[in-house]
Amino acid sequence: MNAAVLLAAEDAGQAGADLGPELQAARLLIEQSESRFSRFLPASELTRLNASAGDWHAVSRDLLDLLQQSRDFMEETGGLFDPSILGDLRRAGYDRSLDEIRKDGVEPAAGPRPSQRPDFRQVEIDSERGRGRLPSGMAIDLGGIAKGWIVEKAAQLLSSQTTACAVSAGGDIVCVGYPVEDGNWRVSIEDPRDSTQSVAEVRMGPGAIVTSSVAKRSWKQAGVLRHHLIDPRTGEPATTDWLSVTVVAPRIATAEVYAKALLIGGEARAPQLAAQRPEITYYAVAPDGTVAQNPHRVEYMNALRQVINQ
Amino acid sequence: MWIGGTSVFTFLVGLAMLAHAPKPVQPNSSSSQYQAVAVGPPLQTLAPLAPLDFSGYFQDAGSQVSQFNIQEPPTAVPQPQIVVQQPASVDPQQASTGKKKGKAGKQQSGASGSGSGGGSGGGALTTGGS
Repeated sequence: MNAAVLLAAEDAGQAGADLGPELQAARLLIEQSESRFSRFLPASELTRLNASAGDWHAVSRDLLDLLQQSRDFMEETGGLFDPSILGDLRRAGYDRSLDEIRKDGVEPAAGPRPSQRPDFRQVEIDSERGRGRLPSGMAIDLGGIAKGWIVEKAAQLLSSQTTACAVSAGGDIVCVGYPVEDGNWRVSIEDPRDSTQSVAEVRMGPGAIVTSSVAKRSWKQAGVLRHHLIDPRTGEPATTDWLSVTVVAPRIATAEVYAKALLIGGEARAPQLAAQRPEITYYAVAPDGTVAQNPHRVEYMNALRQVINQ
Repeated sequence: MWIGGTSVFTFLVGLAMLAHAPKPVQPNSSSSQYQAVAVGPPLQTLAPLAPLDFSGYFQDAGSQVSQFNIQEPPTAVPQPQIVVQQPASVDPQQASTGKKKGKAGKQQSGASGSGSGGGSGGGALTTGGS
């Protein structure tokens, strides 16, 4: 995942409890899961699925679930979330890990995006036989949803033995339970202009928080600044109104997808996207560092307050 | 005549009750406006609400539909709030994603609150995009 992973857990019921084995198990699960869904590993499930595009291919239940979720989210976001952008990522130069890119540089784009390209909604999923089929010519990247899946699984593992825990992978965070000291989780939103600074702090109960940013994973291609957040509508790194969007949601898959969709869709699409998911809150950081919050959340909470107080 | 009179009386009473009933509050529908908040003094946060509990996180595993359980958590938990703070130097011990690869396993036993990546317990988590 090329991201720092943080595991934190506490067991309020057992002072001095040793949570080492649980943390180790969660760490192992993360490492094993990453090797299954990484597009950079030749033997990963995802790489083998991509290599078999056009044919039916045996796929694990977990990968089938991710494909199904991706398809559903693609419909829901009007295509702003679309895993079938691997070809575009490669054209933009992101064909190796970020460390290698920054060390060796990237080649210029090899031609424009093909005018005819398969639609991710054409992906076929056969849950009964445990197989899937990508349309011929399609290559997918599950980075936009698999990381959250991994984090959630690790948190689920940890939470079975603890009263409160948090798992973070590259800033995609799941929080379970309530920490003893504060009673809530405190999460800083990193300043996308300066990773050593924060622009705000969110206090939240259990749930997920994810940030999508155009500033974090960037590089130069033929002298032009590129980043990893591809706009599926154009096949190019997205031109965005904001530098980053942070979403708080009950589930991490929702937070991941909507952080990306909101950042790519920008102010034009944000009201409609936020309205169809009233359970989320988002915070958008503008290039000048100002932070905006979705007003729908304010309306929703005010409306809920009326109901509770009646 | 008696029935008719009773009906008219009942109707008038109901009309009077409706006229004096509290009016529903219409939410502000201007969703196209954004509250841009400048970095500066702390925001005025929302007034306290009955907390929404996301502890059904794993109880409804497999479903993307969130379920709000309006109940008291172990301690009073505010809604997701944002506190805008002045840019300041960040404790280098605080978790900073992308800089400590593979670092994991800060365990705490019934003491500290939020997880911390590098230093002593009680530090905030950080989300910064990836």
